[in-house]
Amino acid sequence: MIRPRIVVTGVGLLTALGRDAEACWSAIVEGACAVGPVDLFDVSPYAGKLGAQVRFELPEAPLPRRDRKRLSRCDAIGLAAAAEAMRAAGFAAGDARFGLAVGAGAGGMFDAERFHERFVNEGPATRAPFRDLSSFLPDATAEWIGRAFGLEGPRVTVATACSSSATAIGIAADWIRAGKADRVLCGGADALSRVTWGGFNSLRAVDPGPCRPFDRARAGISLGEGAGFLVLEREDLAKGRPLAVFGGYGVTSDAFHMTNPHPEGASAGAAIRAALADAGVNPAEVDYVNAHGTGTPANDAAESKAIRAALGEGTKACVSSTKSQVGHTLGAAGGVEAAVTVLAVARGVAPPNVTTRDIDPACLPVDVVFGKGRPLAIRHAVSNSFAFGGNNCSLVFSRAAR
Amino acid sequence: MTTRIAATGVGVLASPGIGREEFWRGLLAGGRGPSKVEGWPLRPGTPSLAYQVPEFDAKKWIAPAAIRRLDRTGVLAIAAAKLALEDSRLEAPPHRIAVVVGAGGCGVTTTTGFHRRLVETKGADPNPMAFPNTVPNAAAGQISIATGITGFNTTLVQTGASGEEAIALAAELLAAGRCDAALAGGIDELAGMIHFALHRLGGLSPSACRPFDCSADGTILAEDAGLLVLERMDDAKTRGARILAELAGCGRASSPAPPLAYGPASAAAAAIRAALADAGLAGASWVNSAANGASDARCAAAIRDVLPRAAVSSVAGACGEGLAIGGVRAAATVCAIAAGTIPPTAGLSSPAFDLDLPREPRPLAGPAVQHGAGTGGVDIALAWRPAP
Repeated sequence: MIRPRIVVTGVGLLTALGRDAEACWSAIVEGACAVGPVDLFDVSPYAGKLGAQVRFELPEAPLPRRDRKRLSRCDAIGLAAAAEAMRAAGFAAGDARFGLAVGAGAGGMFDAERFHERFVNEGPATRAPFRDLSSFLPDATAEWIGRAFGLEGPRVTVATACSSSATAIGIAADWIRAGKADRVLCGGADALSRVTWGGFNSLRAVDPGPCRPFDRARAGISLGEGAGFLVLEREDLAKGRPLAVFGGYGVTSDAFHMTNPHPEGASAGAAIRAALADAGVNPAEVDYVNAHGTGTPANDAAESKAIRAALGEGTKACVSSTKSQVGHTLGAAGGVEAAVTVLAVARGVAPPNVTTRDIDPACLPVDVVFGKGRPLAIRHAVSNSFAFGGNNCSLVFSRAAR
Repeated sequence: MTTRIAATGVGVLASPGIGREEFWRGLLAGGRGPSKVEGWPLRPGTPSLAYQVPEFDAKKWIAPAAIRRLDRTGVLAIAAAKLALEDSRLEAPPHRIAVVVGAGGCGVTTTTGFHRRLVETKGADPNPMAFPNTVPNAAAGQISIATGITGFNTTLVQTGASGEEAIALAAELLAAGRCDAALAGGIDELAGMIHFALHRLGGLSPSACRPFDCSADGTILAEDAGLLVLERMDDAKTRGARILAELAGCGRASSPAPPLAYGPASAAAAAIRAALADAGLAGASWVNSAANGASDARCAAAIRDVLPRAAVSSVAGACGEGLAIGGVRAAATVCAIAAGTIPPTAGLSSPAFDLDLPREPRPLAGPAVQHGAGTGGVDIALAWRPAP
């Protein structure tokens, strides 16, 4: 049986760098870094005080006023990027053959924390507004998006922390291949929250300055927020113009530790290999890797090993981490970085690492892009997303025929 | 489904019992009923009952040093995974086994506890031990760490359809060749915040969960874990596995409902119809319904529409409503098919609906459908039939 080819026909992106894909992309290529002061909540108790906060006013969600009042910050961020992806692919609404696969992280936590703080201080009799809890469970964002665009095909919310939205994109592609949907809106959204801020600081995993992926002095992550969505379509039924081809994906598990990656990156490498095999792509033809690249000492060293093991010691692939520009957007990271990878393939530019100065020998010989975007004809690109629980997901995108 | 899927193992911890055989005996006997939960911060007069897993010694499955790093979700998850693997005598290599966990609200207790300490210490003293278990995929990660399984690993969240969603995805992964076996189902720990929210929304019963009964006055939360071992039928036969039941079809229906609200009954009917069509079945003898004492009318309407003559029962009378109870519901469906017996709905004395609602165990011949109902507009049905 011949598998149908899948194309990406729409991209939606909202990060601290900008409100849409065009604004984010031009800032990325120019080497901007959105990691800075955070005032969404009090960060003064923590060593890490910088993050990539969305500071502009979020666009009005395409929902009735009654619904808009119930949206969490994460929902609003997600709806904006989802709307852009739908618009870019030329769809005003979906139908019963249009699926929805969303990756979630902290989700509505930021809003639920407002309620829960009063619950803790005032007890269960608190009169704190209950609507702050309405998006507390991670599936809420997908439900608002499905409602806004009438997407009545298969629907799923993946909640595997930092790999959620990458896996959601892979599941979306499998649905199209298996004939369960003709097109799927897929990706993810996440917002900053006190719980994740306090949590990563408690693990001493936050760099006091902007995160420095692959740098010798890297000291941890910078947290961020945002959303990235793609519209995937079966090529022979595609209505939108192809930006890139979705090649394949792979998911594996470390079976090692809840928060530390396996130091040899064995299962992470297996995820990259599985994705390349799924895509039928020769590892030597991978020209760009959008790394998970969190900036923690453990991740970047293990990931470099995984990349070399999967692509070959002689790989010429350029590597960069979008987290140096938009922070670690947790549940959204797979979607945000898949969107950036698709734009890199479509525009022929490898995005940079803007904060990296001095490459860690433990991460050599990975070819890291410095400063600004590097013009590069990209035949195939890999986007990595790894997560708590030892969860690894890799995606492969390829250049669309011109 | 183009690929035939076999259920070859059941790992279950739920109020009626632990392990496939004890659970099944307990379910047929009507379960143990709900019991009082201590320590939840609730207003005086708020009901605080839940269907809880009977006491057990976690050391049977987990090393004492490892138990200290786990929350209740992690303990339930590892126990269910090891029970399921033992039950199936699975032989697949670890990198070819998938773990697909449905988590309605997994991690909520640890997350609210973590945030409580942030509030109480004004952010000065977060608990680094607790943070890793705040993520919904902690259960799936802990299963991987405890068993050495390195294959496809993921966690899906869709309130009351989470368990069915995980099983449907596992079947798709098996069909696509992404794994050779899958541990799939759902895990729920009790979470005071979910109990509080359900009470505020008016969905909780003060006494018991009595699906389909005239006296039904709400649902009651459950603590539960239910994982199946699924394999491609051909592989299961080749290795001589004991096949408990065949997963013959999956049906999904999505409707534009907002969070915390169900879609219309027609969406539930559409999911059941789609599962039967996917299985190539014209009907089914039994529906293992999602009715939980608060969603009965919607579930009944869907069944009356699609399978008006089928026998209907719900495990919620004996197990309660965990959001990912679909894993336990699947365990019950598989046990019922293997035993050829329909379990009645516990607590049912005066049926409120014009359906065939057995009050005693009854012989089951032929296929069965289970329905998972998620708020936010997702219904999923699974069609099962006896092993060939």
